[in-house]
Amino acid sequence: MVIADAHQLWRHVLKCLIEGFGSYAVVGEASDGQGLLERVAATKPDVILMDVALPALDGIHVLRRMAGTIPGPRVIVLSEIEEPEIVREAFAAGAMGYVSKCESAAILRRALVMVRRGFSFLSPSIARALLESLQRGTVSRFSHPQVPLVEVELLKLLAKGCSDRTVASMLGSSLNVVNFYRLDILRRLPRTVPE
Amino acid sequence: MGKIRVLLADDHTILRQGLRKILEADPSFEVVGEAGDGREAVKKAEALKPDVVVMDISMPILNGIEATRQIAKSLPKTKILILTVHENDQLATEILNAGATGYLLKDAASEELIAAIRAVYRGDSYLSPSIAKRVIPQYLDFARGKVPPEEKFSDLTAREREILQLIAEGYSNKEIAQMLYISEKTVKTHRENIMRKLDLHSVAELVRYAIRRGIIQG
Repeated sequence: MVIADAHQLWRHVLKCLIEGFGSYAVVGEASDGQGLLERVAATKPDVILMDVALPALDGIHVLRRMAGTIPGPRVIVLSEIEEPEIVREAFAAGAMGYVSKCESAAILRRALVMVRRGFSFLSPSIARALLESLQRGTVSRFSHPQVPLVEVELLKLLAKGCSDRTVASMLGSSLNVVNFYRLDILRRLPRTVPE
Repeated sequence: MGKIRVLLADDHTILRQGLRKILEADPSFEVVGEAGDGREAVKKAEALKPDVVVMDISMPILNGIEATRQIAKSLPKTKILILTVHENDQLATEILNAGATGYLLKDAASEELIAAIRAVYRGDSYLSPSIAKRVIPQYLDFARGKVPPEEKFSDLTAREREILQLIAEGYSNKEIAQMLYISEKTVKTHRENIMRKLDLHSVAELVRYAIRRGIIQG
């Protein structure tokens, strides 16, 4: 894995936690976007854990630059930014998971497991932020098709902190379907959030 | 000598859990509690009486500045080390004034955090070098008698500053009344006093003011 965060203490803490989970090795660290691209090219990691707020080259641009690499590393964004617009941008640029920094280490671990298996991931507080923006109606009903009820239900369950497995059994569907719905919600998020 | 008892106050749970792991790997530290906002930090500090509180500034409900003020007042023996991303001399001066004795940036290495906790525990002060660089000229100005003009903010009472943050975070009078166990009428009076003292005329102005002062994040 490669970790990128502007703050050294965050990088230390993440390395310490992740290596404590077992089955992960942190092979590189970067404090800015440019450094991250260099570390990724040098170490070819399976997974990247990165903030989107990075100096030199912001996280969304880094994601876009990496999008062409095949097979590319799987990317989880870990940030204190919870704006739906940024979440959408991150996924559109190739991220597979998005975790809020206010979340617990257990949630981070869950994100690593899911993304490593090829599923997408949204942490509960990100799901909550998306749900609130849907409820406030910032997702325009004119330019975007209305989000199906089942997807709203899914967001509600994710916001409560339910795991994918629990959500799947509550909605009577499979992990793959949950994954599809989640990506579909992200696809429906607006390009720009109107005031 | 016993272990240094530490309380961690930061709204980022992952960071708190990681810091706990790092500190507890060193036998001279014991993390006695964690808090996710300023109010919880004050409550836990009063209940646990830690040697050192490691405190973030930007926290919901009650920010680190007010939490520092309250803890410094009720627990004079407890040392407060600020751990923040804000490389801002005004904020640093204000929070040192409020009673913190250390100001460390999150860009520090974990060894530096450990050194800073030890320093404030001993009764020394600790400032990140880049903060010291900004705070010392201010201090020298002060020492030479060039005192900056008194800010209107210091006219506010502790309660008013607490309510200012809650209004800026979007809570209604009713919600604030419930959180602080006071009547809605009292909240209304506080709100009017805050607006008058700071010469603000709308909630939008108040929010902008709160962001500028670092009371909430923009």
